[in-house]
Amino acid sequence: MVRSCLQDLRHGLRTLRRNPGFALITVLTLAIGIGANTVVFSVLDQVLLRMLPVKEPERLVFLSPSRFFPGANIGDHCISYPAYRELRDRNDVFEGLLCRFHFQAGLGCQGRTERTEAVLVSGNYFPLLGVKAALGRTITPEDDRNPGAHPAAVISYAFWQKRFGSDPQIVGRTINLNGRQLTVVGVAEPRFDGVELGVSPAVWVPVMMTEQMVPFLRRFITLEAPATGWVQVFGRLKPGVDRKQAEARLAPLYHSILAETIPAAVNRRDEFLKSTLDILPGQRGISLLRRMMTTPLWALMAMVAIVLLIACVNVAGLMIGRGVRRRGELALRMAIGAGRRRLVRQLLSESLMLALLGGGAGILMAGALSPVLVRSIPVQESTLSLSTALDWRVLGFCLLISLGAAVGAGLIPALCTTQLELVPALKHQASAVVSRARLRRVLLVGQVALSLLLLTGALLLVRSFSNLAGLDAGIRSSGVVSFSVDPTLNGYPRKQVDATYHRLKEQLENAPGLESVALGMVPVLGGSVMDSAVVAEGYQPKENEQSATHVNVISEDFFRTLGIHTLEGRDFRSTDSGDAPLVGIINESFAHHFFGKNSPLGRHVGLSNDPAQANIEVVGVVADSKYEGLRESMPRQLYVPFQQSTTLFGMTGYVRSSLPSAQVATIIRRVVQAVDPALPVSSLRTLDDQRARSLATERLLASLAGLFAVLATLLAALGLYGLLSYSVASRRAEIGLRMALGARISGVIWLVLREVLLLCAVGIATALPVMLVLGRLIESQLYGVAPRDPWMMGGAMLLMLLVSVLSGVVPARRAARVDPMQALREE
Amino acid sequence: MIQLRNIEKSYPLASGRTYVLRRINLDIREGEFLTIMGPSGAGKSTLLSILGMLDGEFDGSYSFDGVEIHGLKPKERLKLGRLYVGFVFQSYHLLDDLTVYENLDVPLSYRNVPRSERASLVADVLDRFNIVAKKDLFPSQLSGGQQQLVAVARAVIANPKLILADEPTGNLHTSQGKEIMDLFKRLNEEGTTIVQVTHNEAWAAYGERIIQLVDGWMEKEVEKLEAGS
Repeated sequence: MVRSCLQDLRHGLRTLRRNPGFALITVLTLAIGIGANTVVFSVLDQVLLRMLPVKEPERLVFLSPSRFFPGANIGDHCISYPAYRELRDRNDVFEGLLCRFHFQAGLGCQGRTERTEAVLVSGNYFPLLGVKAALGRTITPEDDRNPGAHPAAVISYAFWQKRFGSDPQIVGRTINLNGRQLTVVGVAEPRFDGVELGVSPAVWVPVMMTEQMVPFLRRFITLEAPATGWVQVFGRLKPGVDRKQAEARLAPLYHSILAETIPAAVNRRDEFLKSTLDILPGQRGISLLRRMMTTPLWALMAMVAIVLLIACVNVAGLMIGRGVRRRGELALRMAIGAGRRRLVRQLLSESLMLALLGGGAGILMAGALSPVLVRSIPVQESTLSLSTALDWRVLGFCLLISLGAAVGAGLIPALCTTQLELVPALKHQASAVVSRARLRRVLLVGQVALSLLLLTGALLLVRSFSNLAGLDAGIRSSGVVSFSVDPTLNGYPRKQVDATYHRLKEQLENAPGLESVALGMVPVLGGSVMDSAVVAEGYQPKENEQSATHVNVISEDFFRTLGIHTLEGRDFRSTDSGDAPLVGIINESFAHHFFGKNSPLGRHVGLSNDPAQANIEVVGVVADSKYEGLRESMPRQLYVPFQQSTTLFGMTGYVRSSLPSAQVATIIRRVVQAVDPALPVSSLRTLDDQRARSLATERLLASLAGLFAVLATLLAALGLYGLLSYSVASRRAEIGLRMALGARISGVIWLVLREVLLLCAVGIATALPVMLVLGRLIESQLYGVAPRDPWMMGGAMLLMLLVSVLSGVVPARRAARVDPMQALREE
Repeated sequence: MIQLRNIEKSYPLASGRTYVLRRINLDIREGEFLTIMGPSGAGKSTLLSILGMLDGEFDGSYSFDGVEIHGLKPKERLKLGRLYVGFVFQSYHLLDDLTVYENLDVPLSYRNVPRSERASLVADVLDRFNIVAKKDLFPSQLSGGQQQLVAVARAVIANPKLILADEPTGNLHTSQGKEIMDLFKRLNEEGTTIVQVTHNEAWAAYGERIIQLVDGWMEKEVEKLEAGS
């Protein structure tokens, strides 16, 4: 059996060598389909499918409050540390529960400070995950004893290589993290990158060091705060316990823990007592990136699957055509003893070889394109941990789809081709040809329909992207360069932080060529949000009304620098200091919502649910502008001066200038260095670039959908061209006869084009109902265009029709040039 | 060995049916050399296809060594044909992509003959047909006569009981044709039953018996002609 398979392969290879044109076109066609699938899968696998590189990941679960932790929340899916501690010590369903808190840190070492990612972790974090140290030791339960008494750090393998040049003497050295000295006790094993996809922490620190590591959050985060959710909790289920059982058994325990830990005086205590925990799968870790990219990645996967399907259909069409030409050979093989199964196997072995060659070429293509796709994934550049290398999983996937393509493209042609009337086939009679041509037509209709689906999807996504890109964000972004600094990460006290920001703004304003300078805590269009409950003087909220409003903490000149118009009142002044009465500026939407048509100037608002806390005087009203991203509708916003804000972290600086952006960037770096040499600058880019980055997902989807649609349409056009060429060649005598009988050239051309138009029309009719249904799947990715937009659908159909007609032009011309006498003589 | 009774073959047409073979009654003895003659369109090749078990769409009864072929399912019929019948065609029908050796090896591999046994059988046939020197050549590198020689060798390699030759010399010069016909004669003398279709009177004379087909009917049967030489 093996030998005869090898014999089939050898004969198949020889046959293909004799038909290099056919082999080349087939391999390239399959390479496009397989390569596109491989490249998208390489990212999809990492983001959505791959398990954490830890011990028995399938038993890991993630504990998340069912809706949200009712108190203050620092991060998503968090609970309080006391609740975690009690759950860890009193449950009977987990082998262990670990907690973590991810934060940004200023890391100083060897006289250099840089911004990096760090994670506070419980002492059982590494042992429970089964992650070992490559050097030294990991953090252990011994580091969980006393708050503030465990200044230890485990650094990541990648950071050890990059920053310390794999120094074997690293254990025992000290690093400075957010202004605190920590001793490096170990290096984590190489493949471990934490439990949050897209975030590659450089340092892990015991959670006992929370107050020392994030002093600027001391107001919210402490190990004893019962009503602030800030730790994310993972657990390892005991053998034999499933998620549902764990959830049921944890519910009463969680309730009693909250009843014990939430003091009676805490606002909305009853909501705490009603809250529950969900036990979610944890084997793939957690990821904001995953939440953001799930739909786009599956949409892309569906698109490339369609491209591969079209490629297979195309190859199947070519193989059927080739099968017709080979029917004499196949009939002969049957006549000398080959069974049909044997012939099918031989033909399949040929398509297998083609698919494997296509897979090989596809891998080369994927290797080149994978880095491009990964670069297009919208994550913060410093935390990107997606690999561009094609590992064994991706190669395995590629092999699998190659085998699928071999069967998909080869089986139907093999079955059809071997269904022979032996005698006519041996005599090279054409009786078998008609049914094969019909099958090719059916396949082509499928190709046209699939291409049309992709074309429509691509047009919708491109239109959606263009709607977003052309949107007025209420901000004049051109000529503005933005950057981030965070003196709080250096452990500075508040006064020093304020002074640093003042000096920075002042010195930038004095730099030649810079028109205006401003600072804001929440970067505009950066995907970040700072929300707060808001009360307004004289406003009676409706029942169940969500009063959450976007807040930004800013400096003077913020509106001038960003080109946001002041409609009423004034900007902040230097006199709006911490000692002065609290002031705020609101936007139009805020004013309209809370004050209606009355002027809000002089009225009071407050960052609280309590009307008695409305202590901020409205001193100005500005035009609406986008805050988190371009997709959102104009949000209500409240701006407060940073000097008066009780909360202050890193700031984003904005500089307006007519100088080239590179020159402005140099000035910014120089000034920051002069203000504080230990202050790293990050995210230095133009605001236009930031705006473009906020649409990275949409751009990625639109451009790839466009690319795949073009590929699919080209493949369909090639298929149509092939069929029509074949059709014209086999109808030469008929065409010759028609011409001999007086048919005009236009009539002959119409004879060919009529066929292509008919195929296209049937393809469109087939695709139409599917288009109407599938449109809903990408609805969430669309902006300003309906999934059933008649213009987009009509445009796609027209485009398909045009491409189809173009693919018929050459065969039609060939038909028109048939010499009647010669064609009839050949017959 | 073969009994055909009232064999009819027809195709449906809009205006009725068109008959290719009408009421053919024919017996072929084991070891016989039979010639079928007749003008184009007389049904000679169709009759050969039925005899070779390639075509099962006919009316009437066909018995081969006691097996009722007309009652068999297509798969069984083809299997039996593979076992007992070898074909030689007018246009040689060698597989262009395979060498002479591989062309001879293919029918054996289709019959699942073990590799070692195949090698010895091919070597034996190459020797018997005196084409050892040609074993690595492709069909396109051979003359017409040599190609037909290989085709005959391929037909006999699986040791069939019956060889069906459809105008085996049609594309050959007279001298080459004679070589092939002599080869058939030799094979026949060694015990193989041969049925040939030919237009050529001289080659027809190699047969012990000639039947004439005209418009699907068996017109006449001539017994025991002197073999041409």
